[in-house]
Amino acid sequence: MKAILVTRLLHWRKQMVSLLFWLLLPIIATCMFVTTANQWQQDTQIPIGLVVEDNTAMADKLSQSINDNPLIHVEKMNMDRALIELEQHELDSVFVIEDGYQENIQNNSRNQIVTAYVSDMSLAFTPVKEAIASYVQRDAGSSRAAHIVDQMVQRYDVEKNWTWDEVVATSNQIREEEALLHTSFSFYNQVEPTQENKGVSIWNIWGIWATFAMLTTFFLFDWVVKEQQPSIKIRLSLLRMPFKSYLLRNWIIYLFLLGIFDLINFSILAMYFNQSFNFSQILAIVSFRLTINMVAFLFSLRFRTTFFYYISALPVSIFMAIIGGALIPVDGLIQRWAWVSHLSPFQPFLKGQVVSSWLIVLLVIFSIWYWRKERAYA
Amino acid sequence: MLKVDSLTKNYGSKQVVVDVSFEISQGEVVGLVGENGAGKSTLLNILATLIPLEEGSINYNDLNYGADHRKLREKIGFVPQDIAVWEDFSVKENMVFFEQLSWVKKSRKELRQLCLDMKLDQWKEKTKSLSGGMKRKLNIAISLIHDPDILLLDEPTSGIDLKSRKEIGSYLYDLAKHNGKTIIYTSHDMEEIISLCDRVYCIGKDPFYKELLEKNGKSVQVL
Repeated sequence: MKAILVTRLLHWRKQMVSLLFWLLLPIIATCMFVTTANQWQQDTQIPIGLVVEDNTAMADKLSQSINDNPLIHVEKMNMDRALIELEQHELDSVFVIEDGYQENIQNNSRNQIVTAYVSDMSLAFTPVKEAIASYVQRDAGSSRAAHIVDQMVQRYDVEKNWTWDEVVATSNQIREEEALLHTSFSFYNQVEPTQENKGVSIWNIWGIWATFAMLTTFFLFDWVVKEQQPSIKIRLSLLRMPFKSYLLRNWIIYLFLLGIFDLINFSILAMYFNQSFNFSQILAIVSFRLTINMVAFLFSLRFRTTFFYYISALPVSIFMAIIGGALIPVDGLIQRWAWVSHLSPFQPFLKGQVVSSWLIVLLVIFSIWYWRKERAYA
Repeated sequence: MLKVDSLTKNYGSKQVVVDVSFEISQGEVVGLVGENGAGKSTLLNILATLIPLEEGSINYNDLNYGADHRKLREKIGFVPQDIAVWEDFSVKENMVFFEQLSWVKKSRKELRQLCLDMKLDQWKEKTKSLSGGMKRKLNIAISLIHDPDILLLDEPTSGIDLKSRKEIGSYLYDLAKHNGKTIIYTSHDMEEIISLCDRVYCIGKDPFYKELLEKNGKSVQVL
């Protein structure tokens, strides 16, 4: 093995720049892709002006809820400024939380508590209005619940007397626990979107990383094609170890090299994007690495020229990434045709599976390749 | 002693090598000539253990080609017709690369001396910048790293200048006569065959090569 390592290092010294490029591509490309996508997502948020005239906790909470909406870009300002910017079409619409908002809500009065201003260019007014109305409705609903409880306490002469704040707090707690209206758009094995990573949530970070990892693996495995050139193969066949053994040992070296970089990549991604990172995920990465190294190796054995190898590897990587749900969600497709989930090694990886049908089948094919008797002695 | 007995090789229905028998002693330089497609390279590949034996038998001393092909590889040096080296590597790196995977361990000094013996002195030069003659010398030097008993050369001097050809020929002749190597050599250059080889085997039905060599006083046997 030492001899193989020495010979491989001789090759790597000659290809240091390209080797580093391909090794670092998955982490750099994933970070760039996700950061750019998030930036783009922020740029496409709907700009609205928010004027808060009520200086109460409930008005602040409403303001915060609007601000947290990932589709809305909120600019807080005074009324005059907001209307000027609306006239100049720098804002899609302006919403004013009127003075007495909390008092009106608590008094169960829902008229003119939030006022909206639009222009003839307010294209996204309706969805934004609906979103804000739903937040107001939430506050109003809690308040109404408090009134009903209060009326019931008085009617049935209950000894226990709950305060308005207690009922509202309990109402909010129940709503959050039940999450009856909550839904999210997510990929396999993806953490629930939170305020910290809400921009990231729409992109499957591990899926993007896996796509680049697969592409990188294919391009790094061009050594198999190069070392299978007839003239070189003859020479390598007559050396101390059989040619297949030479290929296998080199494959193991690449497995270690790429495996180490995978773990480094994963640590960086987990920290950078605040993703979960546990032992079962490490096993899933090792399994995925084993799988894609075998895919690239067995695929490259079929080629005699690097040019055709490269142009074939690219569509294969993209096809597997798409069909595996790494770039776009394919839940609907899989629900309709379950067999589609077996077409790509990305699916088991994104689900966090360690043992997959891909891994087992590839191990069998790999073993057959190694033990099968060749027509030549090599 | 290399002994080939009733060797036959078919590719499908096509007979490439038909009932070939011959013997070569240690220290002999034997030429193998014939027209293109006559089966020279196939015969050389069989002798190099790269193509399995189907009919007939080949023995080298006590080793049998069918059963002991791994052991035989230790005794054989094969110089392929194409230059089989890493173009991006220097001469030194190529030698070190193949030494690492070779049957025997050699020091850098020994590897360099091997190249110098072949008048290949551009030790640190990139292979792709070497002349055709120097590349051919490197191609042969790599095959000699493990000090083989039998050297099989498939047109080792094709496409190179006369000076390099003479240097390679002279080196190979010394290798056979002073170091006892058995050399089997294919070439289309009859002048080279005449000057270098002790005996010549002609493969194929075309009498052209036999007549030409006999006219120049060379003993030729048709296989």
